[in-house]
Amino acid sequence: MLKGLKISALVFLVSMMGCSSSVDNEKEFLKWLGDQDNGFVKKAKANGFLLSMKYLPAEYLALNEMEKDGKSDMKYFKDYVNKFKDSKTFLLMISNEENSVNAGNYDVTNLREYDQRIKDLSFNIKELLVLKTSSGKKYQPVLTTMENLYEISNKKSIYIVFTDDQKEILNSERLDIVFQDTFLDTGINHFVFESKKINNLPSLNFN
Amino acid sequence: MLLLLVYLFFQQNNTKKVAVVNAQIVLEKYDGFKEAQDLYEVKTKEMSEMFEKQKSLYESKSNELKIISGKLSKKELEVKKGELEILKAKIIQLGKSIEDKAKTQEDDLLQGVYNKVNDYVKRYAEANKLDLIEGTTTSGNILYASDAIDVTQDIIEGINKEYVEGIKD
Repeated sequence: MLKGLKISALVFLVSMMGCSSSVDNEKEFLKWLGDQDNGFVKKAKANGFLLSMKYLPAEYLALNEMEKDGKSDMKYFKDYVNKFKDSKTFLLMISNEENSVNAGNYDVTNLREYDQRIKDLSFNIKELLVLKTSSGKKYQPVLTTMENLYEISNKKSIYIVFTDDQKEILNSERLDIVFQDTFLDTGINHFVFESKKINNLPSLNFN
Repeated sequence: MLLLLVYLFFQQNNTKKVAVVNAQIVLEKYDGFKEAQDLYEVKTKEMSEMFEKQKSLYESKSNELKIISGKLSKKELEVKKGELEILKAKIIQLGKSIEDKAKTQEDDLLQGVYNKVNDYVKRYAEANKLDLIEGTTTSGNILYASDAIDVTQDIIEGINKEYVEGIKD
């Protein structure tokens, strides 16, 4: 009897944990997105480099854009979300365990090579990234852009946007982003996102 | 008795934890290595096709010259032969550049694979509190290691899982 009760309590607890949670403010939302257990962040490591790929949902991008436009009223939120809902945006952050090393200066010996590396990270990285859907279709990013931090930190942040007319990306169960690194010696890196996880955002109860 | 216990305690603490791993098997069964090999083959195939195209162009031009050489003047023949020599030199140059490119690509891909394996092995050792992991090879100097300290299979499973799922903080 007691054993049965314990099992029921456990089932209830597990089912409660499976429900989408809710967040009350932007700070909590950011924290939630950064929690690896929620499936929005995937990481790979090699050669002292940590590569972190974060999925940025339309809701996050909408909040960012609203802030830029100086709109704090949540009545605009849905319109902003609609602007981003047909594409998938990711943020690739590359850092090194040594403070003096970063993706911009690794294996770079002169100013010309440095210039080339910045171009590689900003634009040519597009050729090294591919998104594979569950059906095996491959897509290259439509946009990549590096956030310029002017060597302030040893972290390089690159925004990556994928989209397709057939909505194959949006409907795929799995999104495997492959980065074939040719300049940091980290090899082939996979960042696999499960759609059931990244489509399961918490309820946003912002005022 | 107390001294014996103290001795055993220190003895236990001083024992270094050692494991062995067959690096060759890890590499062969690592999905990252297999993918790098496939990628290398695709890239070298593209380059090789480009070379073959140029080579057959040279061969057809060379055959064409043999056929029409009787109809050409001495000067015309010299010009055509000169053009053919230039083409031949270009193809040799292309072959050399393809060879160099393929070698660089192979080195780059392998370096990435080695770095990934080394990084995983380091983290595996730290997580399992191992002091030393020895790599075994058929020509290496480890003649025997008990299965109990052989972590090859464990490493293969872990590194392949991580290759797809990524690392956890």
